[in-house]
Amino acid sequence: MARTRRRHCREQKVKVVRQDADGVFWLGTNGGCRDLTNREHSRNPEILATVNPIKPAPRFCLLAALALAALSACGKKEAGREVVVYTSVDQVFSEPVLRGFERETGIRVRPVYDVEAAKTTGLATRLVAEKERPRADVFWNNEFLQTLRLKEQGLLAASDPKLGMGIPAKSFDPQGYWFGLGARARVFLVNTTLVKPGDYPRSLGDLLNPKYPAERIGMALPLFGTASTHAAALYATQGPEKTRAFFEQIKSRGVRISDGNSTVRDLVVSGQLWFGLTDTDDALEAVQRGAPVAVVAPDQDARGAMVVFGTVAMVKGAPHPEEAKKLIGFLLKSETEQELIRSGCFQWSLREGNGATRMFPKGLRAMDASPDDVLRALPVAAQELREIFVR
Amino acid sequence: MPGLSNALDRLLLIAAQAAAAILLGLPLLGLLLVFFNTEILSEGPAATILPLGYRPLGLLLRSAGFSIAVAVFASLAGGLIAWGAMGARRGVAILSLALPPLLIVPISIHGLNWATLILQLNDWGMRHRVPIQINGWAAACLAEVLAFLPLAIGVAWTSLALLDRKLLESAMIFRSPRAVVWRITAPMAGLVLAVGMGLIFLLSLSDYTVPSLFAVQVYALEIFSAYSASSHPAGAVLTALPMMLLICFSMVVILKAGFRSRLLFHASPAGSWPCRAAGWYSGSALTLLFLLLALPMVSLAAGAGTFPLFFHAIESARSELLVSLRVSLVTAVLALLLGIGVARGMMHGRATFLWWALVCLLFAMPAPLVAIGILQVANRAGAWTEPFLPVWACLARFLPVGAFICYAVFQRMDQGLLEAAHVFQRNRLHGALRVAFPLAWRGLFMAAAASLALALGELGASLLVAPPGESTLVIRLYNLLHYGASQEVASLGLALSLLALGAGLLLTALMHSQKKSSHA
Amino acid sequence: MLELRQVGKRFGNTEVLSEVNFRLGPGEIATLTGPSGCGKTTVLRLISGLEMLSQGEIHMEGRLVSCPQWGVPPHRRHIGCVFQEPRLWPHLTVRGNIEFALSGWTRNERLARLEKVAQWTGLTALLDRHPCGLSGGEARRVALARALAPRRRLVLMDEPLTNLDAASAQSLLDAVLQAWREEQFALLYVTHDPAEMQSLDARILTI
Repeated sequence: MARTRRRHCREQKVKVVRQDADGVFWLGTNGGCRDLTNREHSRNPEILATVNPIKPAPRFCLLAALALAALSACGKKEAGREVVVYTSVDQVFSEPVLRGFERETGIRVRPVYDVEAAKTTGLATRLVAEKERPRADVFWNNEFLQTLRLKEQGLLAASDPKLGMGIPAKSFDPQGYWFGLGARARVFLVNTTLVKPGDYPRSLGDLLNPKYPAERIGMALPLFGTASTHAAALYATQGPEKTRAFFEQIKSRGVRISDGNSTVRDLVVSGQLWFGLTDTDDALEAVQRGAPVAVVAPDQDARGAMVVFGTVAMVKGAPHPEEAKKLIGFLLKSETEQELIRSGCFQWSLREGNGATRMFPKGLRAMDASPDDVLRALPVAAQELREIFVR
Repeated sequence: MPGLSNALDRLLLIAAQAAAAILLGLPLLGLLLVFFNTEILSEGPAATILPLGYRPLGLLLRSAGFSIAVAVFASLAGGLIAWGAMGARRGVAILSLALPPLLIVPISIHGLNWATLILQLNDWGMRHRVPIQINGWAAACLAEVLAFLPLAIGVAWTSLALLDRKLLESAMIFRSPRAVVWRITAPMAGLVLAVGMGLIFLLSLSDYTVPSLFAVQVYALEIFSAYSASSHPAGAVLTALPMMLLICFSMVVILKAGFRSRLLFHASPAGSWPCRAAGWYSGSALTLLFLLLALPMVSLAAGAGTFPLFFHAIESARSELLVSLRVSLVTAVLALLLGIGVARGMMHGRATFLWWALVCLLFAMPAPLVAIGILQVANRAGAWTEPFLPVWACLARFLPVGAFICYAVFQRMDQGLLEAAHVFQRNRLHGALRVAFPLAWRGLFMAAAASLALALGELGASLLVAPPGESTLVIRLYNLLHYGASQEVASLGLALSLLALGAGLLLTALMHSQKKSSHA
Repeated sequence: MLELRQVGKRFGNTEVLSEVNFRLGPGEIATLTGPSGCGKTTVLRLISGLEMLSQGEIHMEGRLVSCPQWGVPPHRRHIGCVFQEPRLWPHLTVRGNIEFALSGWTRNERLARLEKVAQWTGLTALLDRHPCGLSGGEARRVALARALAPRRRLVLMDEPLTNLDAASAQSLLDAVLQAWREEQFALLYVTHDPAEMQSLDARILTI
């Protein structure tokens, strides 16, 4: 211990000597550690003080670190063309398509994907919030209702209507504000280990059928995404009173309401639900995974299943309009639609003979609900459904 | 020129505090601006602000109950494992090696890893008709407990390591080890454990990533949904109010316990841990620690598939990976530098109460609300703010964490040493760099590491503020997991975990080498 | 009562103690002294069981309690110990700190013993205080009371009067001697102070 102390003293330089109010001398060294008083030295006031100015390096290092951090906080802005797309199509499907566009055109795509919990509505909300200063160029939606709503609010810009060639008339806007791209359907996904084929649900009314326990059947919250579109279509086709009563009974029965279609799929696959109402792309994923499930299209003897087509549109005031037009043109190519069907994003093409799923070999009877009627029914539907399910 | 250097030192501190005040205060201002938006007043039924009702409050109570269960189970398990590990030969060395890597991995990544494992187990059970299905609340609780377990072990270890060994030894003279544990060790360590339990409760309450994977509706998701469902953030703010009140109340309780606990701890205790645990118990604890490290890695490695698939998944996520690294590193550096200034404000000066209020309020605020506040300000400020938004969101959320840790570090510093330095220093910065920093660097490093880990796993605010093309890795993971792309999820989860583990091992090696050189 | 045979202790490569031999009979007082760093505290820690032996043996009341391979746990050696620092548990009151050592006693026995020990050490008015509210001297009284309370046959004291003023030190020493006279425990007392050695008037062991 004594040896350590001597070595400690030899290495230190005297910096300052101070005398405190009690008359004790304190010796300052450059060690900066605990043993800063040395009573032997303090009895010898002849030790002279030398004070060295502090080197500026530590202070500059601190400032430099701050500056570097601030500069690094900026995102990298690469020089070159780019296009910003807001898409509610699942990232696993949309990303390869967008990468393909990048490779083909050299235009950098900056996507914003949506999350399951707020499908589509979240992006639409964002577009409304940004209307004074749009950041998005293209809105690629996996359904049509929010797109129509945005058009109604004057947030979309017109593209060349000729891009809609080959698409059925009710699946694109004649003025070119939006175009349909691929279709899915709202179907029942049934757990085959829990439900026998003879007991499969055949109609939406089976959600109220007492033979199925309410806590073992489910659907997504009809405030977002395709569930919201489906609900609005029901309001449009069977009227507000009947539809309100239907959803009120669903709520009062205690049917399981989840935050998204993929959650419904997972609950059915895991056996927590006997069956659930979901989209064909989610259902297909479960089938391909080898889960013990069957897909049933509802109301095939009656009004038909709800078919939801995707849409693509240019945002009004888009920062990169030329690039946006190129992207829209690319997305509307039949090859792109075929690729999306092959990957499982959509199950039907809107173009004749451009591909379809083998999920329904005999075809699918679709509900007759025009997009404009569905849009008109939306405000009342949204208001009433919020009252039923959220309050 | 002594006068000038003093002014410059003071300027640096004021600059740090001013920057922190702006970064933390503006989101709060933004939330107030929400209610002054005239569009809300002029629009029709579609703009109705969500009122509070029976259903949301019931959901809040269920969510609080869920988080309490997670906190209690995680803290109990963490305490038992830490006790057992410390009682083993070289147990402290093993803990100091194994724990930092686990702590660096973000909690949300832990949660996603364990959730993936549970889902894989369920899948396997379903395909082989084995009746092992863990679903719903139980699965979410299990995944969250396992996700928070490293933090709980760390808190328990800290609470035990801070105990004065001499007090335990003097108790061992009179009573058996079991009596010493119940009468002496547990009460003294209990306050810090309670603070840790409270922290886990708060983190769990504000998180919706893991519960949503098991279709469990929690209140944190309700806030996010409220914002997304309506075009107006006022609904989200009002929806979040009950949860914020609960969090603020919890924070008051936790802070009180924290203040009381610091009175029990003196300078760093020396000597080895005196309480040896039974061999089987220590062995079990170390085995569990090993499983905590290895099990997710093994399951992720199995799910990642072949090397080409693994690298393809990483290549696909390259931009998200780079964005995540950039944002989290910058957040860590700034959270440390500004956190020092904030901690100083919390300790000295006339505005200590304001600093505490600001820090606690931001810590309590749910992630979507932070993002909403930031967006309200940023939209008014202009497009130039866009590149800073992800870092700003992370700082607003985690600068309070850095400030709390810095505050704790400064409180535990030997005041005698600092007072002696005040006699000799040329100016405050001189004393800070030559005396205070060497004494405090470990704790400050932990503050930066905690901010890094939290920022790496941040989801709730990043979702809303991320500029186009600047999505983070956690957002990608979350989306993929919801879709069911298990191979990609496993690959990315494995990559991120390995990265964090590597950083943690580096940190451990650095701290060990520093310890050796300071003892030489 | 206590016998150390060829006791040695090594920390890593450093031999702190080697070939320490002495005996302490029942009711006997011995003073252990030596230069700073010679291992006096280590001897006490070995006797109390807080450290393991590197060589030799320790016997208490004729039975082996410590050897390099194993040792009887501290709480089973039935000794009292006053350390260099008071080491009071901050969450327990003075009463709680003393009663901690009275495990297995009935309530009445505990109360009676507490009263007696508090009288010896002058703590009657301080029983409900917490350690944070005690002065240095008062804290040492509590440590002393805690060591004397359980009526142990052997009491170890490691410089218990350090940093006390003369009057306080003398009154504490008087309390120790009074307790020793009444209860005749063996006392191993570590000190540098010649005045304390003189007051104790005991056999001096030097390391």
